[in-house]
Amino acid sequence: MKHVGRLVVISLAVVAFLVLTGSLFVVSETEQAVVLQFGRPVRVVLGDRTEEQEALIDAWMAEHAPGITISHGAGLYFKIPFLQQVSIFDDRMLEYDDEPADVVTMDKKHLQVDCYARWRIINPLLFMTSVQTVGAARSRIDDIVYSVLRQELGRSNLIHIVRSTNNPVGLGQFVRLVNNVTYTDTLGDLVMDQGEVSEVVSLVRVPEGQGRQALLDRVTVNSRSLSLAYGIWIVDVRIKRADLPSENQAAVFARMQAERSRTSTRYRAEGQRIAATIRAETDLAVQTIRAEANRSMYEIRGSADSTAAAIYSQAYGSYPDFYSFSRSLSTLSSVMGSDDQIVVSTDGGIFHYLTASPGESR
Amino acid sequence: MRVVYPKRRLRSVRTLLIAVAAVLWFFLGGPFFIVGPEEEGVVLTFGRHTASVGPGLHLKFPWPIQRVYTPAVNVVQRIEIGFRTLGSDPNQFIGFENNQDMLDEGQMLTGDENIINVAVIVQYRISDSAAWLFNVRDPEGTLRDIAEASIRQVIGDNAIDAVLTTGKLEIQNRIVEQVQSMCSEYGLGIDIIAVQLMDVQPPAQVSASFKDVATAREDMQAYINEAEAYRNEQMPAAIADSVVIVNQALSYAATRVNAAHGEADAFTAVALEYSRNPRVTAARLHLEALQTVLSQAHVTVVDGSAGALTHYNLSGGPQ
Repeated sequence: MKHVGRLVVISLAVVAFLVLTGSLFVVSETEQAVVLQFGRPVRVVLGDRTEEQEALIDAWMAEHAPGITISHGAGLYFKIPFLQQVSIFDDRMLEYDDEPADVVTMDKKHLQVDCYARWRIINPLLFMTSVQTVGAARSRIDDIVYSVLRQELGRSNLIHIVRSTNNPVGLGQFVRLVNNVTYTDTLGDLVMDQGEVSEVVSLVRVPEGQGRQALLDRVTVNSRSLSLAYGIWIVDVRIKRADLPSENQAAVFARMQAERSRTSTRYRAEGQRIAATIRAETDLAVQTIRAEANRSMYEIRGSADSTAAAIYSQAYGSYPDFYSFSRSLSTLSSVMGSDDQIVVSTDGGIFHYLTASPGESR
Repeated sequence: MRVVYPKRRLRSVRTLLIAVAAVLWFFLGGPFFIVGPEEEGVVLTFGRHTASVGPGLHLKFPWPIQRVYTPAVNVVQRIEIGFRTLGSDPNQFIGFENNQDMLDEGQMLTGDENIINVAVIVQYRISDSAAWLFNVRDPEGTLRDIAEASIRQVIGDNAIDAVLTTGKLEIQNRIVEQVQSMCSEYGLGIDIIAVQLMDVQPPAQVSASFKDVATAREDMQAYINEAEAYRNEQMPAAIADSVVIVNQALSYAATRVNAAHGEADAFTAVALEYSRNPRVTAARLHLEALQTVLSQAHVTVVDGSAGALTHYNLSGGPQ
């Protein structure tokens, strides 16, 4: 009997445990839950929702599962043991990462695009009935995002996918924004300013509603409206990488090289131009300095000569007769040299005394 | 034959098992937990976030009633894009120079359709541990995706020269803004502390022509310096020459004017003498001059009384 009593106690304990655990369930902060009674949904436990999401869920529930209890927040919940089953779903933001895909843009350029999306299950009941698992949900999202993104990218020029805004950094220094230029005008001109050569890059203007940010906003909104059919809220779609395929990179590299070599050439040419200017200016300055020196020289000499002439004329003018006499004498002495022959007669002058008798005068 | 274990021994095995289980439970799921100095303790009661506690020893209800997470909230963490440091030595890393994966990650298009390689770090700190734990699955991976997307978006909005040189600071700030706003939108619960462009390089295929630009700039400077040297050599020489020319002229002038004064004074002195006694002075001067002339020249004297020039000596001077 003692043995039987022990068996009863153990059985009761087991039953009590099962009833207790079967009537309780825990929904964690990272989870949400759906409670089914014989396959009919009777309750959902949701995490935080925005007002917009809340409204969507309420509307859907009113139509498809009227009378269902909607609870919010994590914690301990009760259910009827054995009759009700609980399905738990992740309530966090989940990832979706696409394989990089080749996309053709509107201007027929190829772009290797790797995008990702972040999404969450906002309506677990709808999610449960339409896709069941996260894996299945990913393939739905793949279909949606891939087609929406491809459609949007196909409507944009490559440069509009790369750029987002019209106010790039470096404006006014390296970059000048030009309104309404076409894409082929991106090759700019070179400017030399205070010893710096810069490329005037005519960045393409991103039209209103174009550019990466605007494009992705549209992709997000469109994908979201499609994914709501699965109880999925797409938070956003982003382009992680958008790069040129390697065969197209070669062309870009060639252009970059050409642009840089133009800059190099410009630097060297400017250097030579400046150097030539300096040399020419130097030569001019040197010539000017010499010419001015020569002019001073002639002025000084001329003025000295005129001063001397004035001095002479003043002195000689006072005694004109004596001047012509003394000047004649000195001219005579300087003109006659040791090589000259002089033939003189004894008829006059000092040689008269050669033949004259003593005491005889002329 | 049935082996009968002694009852006491059975009991001691059971006691040991219970003791081990109790110890495990005590330390792993038991009534206390320790929060490190850099951590925050986030307590869940039946899955609901009920408390957050600071560093130290804390009590809790044992599992399965309460659970605790201890994320490191005060530690500045970083993610690397375009490179990875290996271990703790910052000089040991793989980068876009030598690794294709890093190149794929760090190579991107600029807003003027050039291609550039960048290595970036993003520093962040968990600011809201509950958000970090509960809002997003794989928060680190999400942050990495956000960072990559933001960097490409900002670089894609700028010209290559701005990225390479003066625009870096502004670009970093824009990336910070972009990453932070996306983190807030996702509810990641982190603060972005800084974004740093560690290395920005043109791709290897074009780096030679980029370097040549720098060389060309130096060449330009060299050409200019040579010309400056020419100027510095020529100008002083010209100035020196001009000083010489002017001074020579001045010395000529001094000589000329002084000579004039001297001659004039000498003339005046003689002229005064002459005016005092003209006949004698004139005769004296005349005779002195004749003496000078005749003493040097070959003089042939012809007798005037003969009536004719009868003698010629035309054979010239002293041969």
